[in-house]
Amino acid sequence: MPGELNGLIHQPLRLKIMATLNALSPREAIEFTRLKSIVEATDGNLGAHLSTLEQAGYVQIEKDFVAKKPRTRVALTRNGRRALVQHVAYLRDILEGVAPTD
Amino acid sequence: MPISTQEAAEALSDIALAQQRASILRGYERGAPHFVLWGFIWVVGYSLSDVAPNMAGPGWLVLDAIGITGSYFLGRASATNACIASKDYGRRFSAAGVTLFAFIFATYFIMKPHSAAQYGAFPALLMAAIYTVVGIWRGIRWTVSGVVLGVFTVAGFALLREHFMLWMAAAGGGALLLTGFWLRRA
Repeated sequence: MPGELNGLIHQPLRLKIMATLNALSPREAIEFTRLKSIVEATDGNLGAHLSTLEQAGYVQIEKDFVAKKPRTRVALTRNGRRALVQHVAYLRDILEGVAPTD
Repeated sequence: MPISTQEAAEALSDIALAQQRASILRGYERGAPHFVLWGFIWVVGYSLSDVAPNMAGPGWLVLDAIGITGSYFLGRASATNACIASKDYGRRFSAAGVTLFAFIFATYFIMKPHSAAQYGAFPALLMAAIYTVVGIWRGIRWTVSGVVLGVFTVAGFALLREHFMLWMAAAGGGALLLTGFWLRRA
């Protein structure tokens, strides 16, 4: 798969979020609080970056209630997984001297 | 705008670290309720083996059946929560339980332990070894719990042979329960 720079994913926290979600099984979701502890972000910061990724179609966010408590779950979409794979390929191309560097 | 080789290397390193951390914490989260369930089962089973040794055999059969069934439902629940195929996941947990159960009884059949303490120590040592090995790949907390369980088992067998079952109820079952809470807090 040809690599290409994805400026949206390349932001450090978004990269961590995408990598974390990519470690799960296809369509597997993770709770917001769990994701927050893994990527070590604040509620507001994580929420903002997730909105950006959701608008790009890279993540799917589901909100529901469990035992009357709100629950937010996040999963990587097929497009998101493909975009991350392409971005990783681009990063590897740079290290191997295939892609142009600055 | 192209990026430098150093930036690319750092980004790849960040990706690898995030994926490794996610994988380890997911394992802790899923393992925690099983440790708590089996911790309770060990407390009850080993206590029963101490106070009513003649009831230990059938008692453990019932407790193991409860544990395997419980693991099935815990596996299903954690998979449902994560939106993945819950039935398959539950089946894997119970299949793992049945496999271990069969292995332990096949070993008893072939090796024929000489004492109740040997019967009690073998499953604990087996689980200690499994947790230790799993932890080599899947996170240090598995290894710590495996080593602690193994040391407790050998120490109890060597030093407290007369009250070994009671020791295993407290130390073995307690170690599993504490491990479950420890993994959940990760």
